[in-house]
Amino acid sequence: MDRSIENIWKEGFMKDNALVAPKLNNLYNQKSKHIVDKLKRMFEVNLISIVVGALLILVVSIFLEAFLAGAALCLQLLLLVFLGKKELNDLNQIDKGASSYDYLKAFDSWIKKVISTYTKVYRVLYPGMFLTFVIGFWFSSVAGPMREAFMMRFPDSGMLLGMPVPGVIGALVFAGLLALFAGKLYQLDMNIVYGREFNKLDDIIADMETLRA
Amino acid sequence: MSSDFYTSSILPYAGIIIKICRAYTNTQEDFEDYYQEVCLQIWRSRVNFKETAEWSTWIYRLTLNVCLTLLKKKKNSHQHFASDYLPVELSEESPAFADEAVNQLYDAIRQLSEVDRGVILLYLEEKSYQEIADIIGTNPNNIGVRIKRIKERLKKILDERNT
Repeated sequence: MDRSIENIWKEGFMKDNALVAPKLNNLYNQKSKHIVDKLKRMFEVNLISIVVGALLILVVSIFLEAFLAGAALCLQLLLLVFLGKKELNDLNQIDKGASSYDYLKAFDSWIKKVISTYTKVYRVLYPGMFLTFVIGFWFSSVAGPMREAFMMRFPDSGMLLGMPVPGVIGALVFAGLLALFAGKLYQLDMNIVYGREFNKLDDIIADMETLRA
Repeated sequence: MSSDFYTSSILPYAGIIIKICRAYTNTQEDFEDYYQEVCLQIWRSRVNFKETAEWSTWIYRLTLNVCLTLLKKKKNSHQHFASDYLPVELSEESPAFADEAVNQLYDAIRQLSEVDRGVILLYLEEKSYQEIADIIGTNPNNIGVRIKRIKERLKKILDERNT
């Protein structure tokens, strides 16, 4: 190859028909394949689902005569929506027209912030929701026959705040495990869906940082 | 997107977008996907355009950023796709220009890292080191050294292909 790459480039694109733009098909309705848009869409769908779920729980809890537990669960879920909305606003601030390094760093920071925030939130929320559900269920009208059957079968079982001690211990242990592994579970979930993209981003940022040094 | 916006604000810069998208894709299908995605993102992000920058520079930035972070999904594969693991010359349906030398140069460029592809494309488009550094967000002092290395690597790849 005797020609320089500069000459190959210049001469190759001198012909008028060298650069033909592909046809745009129904662009307005086209689904974006961009990771930022995809995450935004996922977040929005998630938030709507949580609101619907929270309201459903509230309605069902009224029928099960466990309104307090239902309201507590609903509030916890709405707190999650509030936090999610805040994260979504931050995602919208990322400027795709910024320099590549700033753009990728902003996106990377957003991902790290979201994972860190949700890890902390889920560490409290998962066990909190589980315990609320267990307590609400135990005192609900549906669990009435179960409560009576338990008392008849284990009349000597110790009680704590109206609940059998072994059950309380079991629920607390499970809630503890949920708190312990909440972060890992969330990270695993994100890595399964976006692990490859996240690793690619890390590599590109690392390469850019060597150029900035 | 209105066809007016596409015709007046994107089409005059289609050449830039095509040149960048070609460097980040191995197949015609991917290339068309990337091109459409870039156009979509230009349209969606147009409100963020600041008059302090030139529209063409902004297009370079946005196109590069979209290419660097585009989700690549192929049919019949979950997270990975075969073309990732194939040498570029073995990939089928490589996007092609009329000029064979340009195609060979593109094949060589596709073997570079994502960042190096962006740097060399901007260099070939005769952007100054300062402009390249501004678009990528790096230090202009290191751009010259990096370009020298990339050119050596490209020359080596092209020489190997032609011997």
